[in-house]
Amino acid sequence: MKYSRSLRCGSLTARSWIVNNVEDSLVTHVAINGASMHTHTLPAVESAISAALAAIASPGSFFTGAERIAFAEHARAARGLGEVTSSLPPILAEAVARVAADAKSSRLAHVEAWEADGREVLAYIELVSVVAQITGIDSYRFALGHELEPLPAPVPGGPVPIVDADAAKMNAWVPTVGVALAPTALTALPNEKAAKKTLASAWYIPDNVIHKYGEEPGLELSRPQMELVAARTSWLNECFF
Amino acid sequence: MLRESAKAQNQPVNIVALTKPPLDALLPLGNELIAFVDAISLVDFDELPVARERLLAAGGPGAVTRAAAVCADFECTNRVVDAIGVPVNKKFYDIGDELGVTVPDHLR
Repeated sequence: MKYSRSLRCGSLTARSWIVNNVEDSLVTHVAINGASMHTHTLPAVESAISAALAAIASPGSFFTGAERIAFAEHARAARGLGEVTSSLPPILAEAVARVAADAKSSRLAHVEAWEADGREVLAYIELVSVVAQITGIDSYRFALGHELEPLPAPVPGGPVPIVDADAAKMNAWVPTVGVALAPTALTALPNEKAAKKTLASAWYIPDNVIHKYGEEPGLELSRPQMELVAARTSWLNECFF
Repeated sequence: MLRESAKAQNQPVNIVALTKPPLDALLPLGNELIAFVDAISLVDFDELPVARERLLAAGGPGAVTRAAAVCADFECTNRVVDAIGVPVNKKFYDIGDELGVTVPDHLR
């Protein structure tokens, strides 16, 4: 499997036309190949992305760091954002590509085929988590015209299963702790849940006000504007969340 | 949540604009935000710089960064819920009808 499309950003030119300090963020805009790269940064997001990439490169509950980095690489390629240099067993490669580029086509039959291949259903959750996280990170960089981060070198070591003993199959295709909802989707694997939550807390509305609809979290967009972005994204992904 | 937050803030909103972008969502920067999200989610290399500049001009740098962040969060979360088969809450069925979309059987 080879994908040839790559991000068209890079080759920073010397032109810089806005420099402005806004509270805890630095704002600059520089031309890249004739288009702008947006460099207004959110420190909390940068910190969360660094932590997420480090976690992706580390051994997980079922996969090594090298395997998790391979998932990230294949996920990028499936979206036309990179090339594949590593190999994965077909069922893993197919799952990564599906989740990265066509998650709406996911079905129970895919999970059943995974288990029929002799794999733990909990390992499927780990794969989904890694692919979803790198997809979000890459979308953020792509949106702002940034280069994608080079994937970090994998941390040596074998996987160490860290599983919530209370996880059980409820209303989803995989075990969850309690009823499966968006916030509980990864609860069977506490480390994956935590990693995703770190990103979500930096990107979106903080947990302490998420359901206080009349309360503004004091971010750069109003809450209804953020919800518009969220809803449109879900619509384009044909996701009902 | 869009409807709930707009209602709580007495902010008019037309949620049908979510599925029919020529319609006005009635929110400040609504059209610019939708165009930016479309370019990100559809990985549209040509439209993205244009949409980003439009949003930047209308809303400033913070609006661009936060919109990218929220979109990224949902690019992530959408994949999780779809890939592990989290069913759609029945209370959202009506909104689906309003937007002209039907919840697929495998998520009911």
